Amino acid sequence: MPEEADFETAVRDYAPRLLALARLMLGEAHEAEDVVQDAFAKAWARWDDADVRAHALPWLLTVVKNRCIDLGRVRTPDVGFERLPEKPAPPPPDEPVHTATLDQVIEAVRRLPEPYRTVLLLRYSQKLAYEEIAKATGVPLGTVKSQISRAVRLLRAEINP
Amino acid sequence: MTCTDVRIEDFLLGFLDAGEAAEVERHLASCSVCAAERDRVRALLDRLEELPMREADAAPVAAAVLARTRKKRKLTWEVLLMPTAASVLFGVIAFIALVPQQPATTAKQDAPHAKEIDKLVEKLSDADVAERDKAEKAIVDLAKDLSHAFIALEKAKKSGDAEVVARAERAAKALRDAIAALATASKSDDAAERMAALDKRIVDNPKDPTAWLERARLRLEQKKWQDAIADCTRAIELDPMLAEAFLARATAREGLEDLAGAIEDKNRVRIIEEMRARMDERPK
Repeated sequence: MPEEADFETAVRDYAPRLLALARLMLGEAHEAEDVVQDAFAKAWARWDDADVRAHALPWLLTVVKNRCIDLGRVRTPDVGFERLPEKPAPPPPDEPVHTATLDQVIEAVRRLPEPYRTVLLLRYSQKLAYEEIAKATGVPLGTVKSQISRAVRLLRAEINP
Repeated sequence: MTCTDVRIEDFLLGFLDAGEAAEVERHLASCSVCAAERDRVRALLDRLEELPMREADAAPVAAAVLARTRKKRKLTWEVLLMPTAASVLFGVIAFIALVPQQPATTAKQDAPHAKEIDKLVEKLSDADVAERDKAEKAIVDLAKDLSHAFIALEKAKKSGDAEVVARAERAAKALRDAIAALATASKSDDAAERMAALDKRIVDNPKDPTAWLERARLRLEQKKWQDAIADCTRAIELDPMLAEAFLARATAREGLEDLAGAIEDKNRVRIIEEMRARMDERPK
């Protein structure tokens, strides 16, 4: 069946991206794999829907991020929220620029409150355009931009206070 | 432009218009503190670009998904979306009766079970107590049949016959989904009941801050952020020392992405707790 072939292609093409997103959000390898498998099971159940097939990647990314948010909420509600100031005071100009490692950045992103964690990952890990993020998260374009700006500020405070 | 006006993140992300960007550039040229901050934010953005987009080891996950899909033929989702959970359960029992080697003693093959269930439920309010007992027992027996169906399906899944295994897996999934649907329906009924009770409590005692707070909490569960905020605010007006109301309002404000408001409420919680601690320390 052509639909089954489409689904198989979608699984092979998108599983690496969905897994990357789930691992970045959750950190737990097994949990991330379960989330990805469940997302594909949901997609398969709705594969008759031409809309789902036509927008399979954003649809799957949305399912994965929603599930990860739910799991994160159960595991660590309200993580580190109060430690993030509105605008960090800049360090003295003569202090050398300390560049955080990728692992440090990933850890800090994971600690960000929602929706900042998600928008940052959709933008920088999944390279989605702002318009695509707006569709995936269901918020206006302007809000997405302000969320990303705020997310960077929060991350900056978290990494290099 | 002063240092506090400079939106370095927006500048580097390209979110400022040409005029604003030019102003920031002029400020950066004359302010070494902000210029250093720009370099740090830029380094962070460069690092963010390195976040992995794909996982190289996703092949086993893809293989597991495809194996699952091939093993099961496409589920008949219409069955799962039938109007009442009871009819789904009975449909499943009828289906189980078709699985070879399964006893499924009480299952019938073709009966419109939903109607039977409706009759049983009606009989729960029968004038004759013996009829009411009988109907109740019949419904309890149905629950036992479902439990029996689960066990029978687990056995069937171990059968060597691929078709039996596939049918048993589909039936077991339908059972699980039907029960999950029941749980969801029950939860939603429960929330509606709790809401009605709280509405009444507020009407009866409009000056009871805890009633407003409890309704706010229920609204938080339902993600009705604005309504939750309104209830919390009322609770706070009635009792300005009710830290829980500030905390609940902070959660609702987070839901609306009002970070500044949420922080303000959480700070208020801290102040109240400190005040209470000081009052506790005072000699009595």
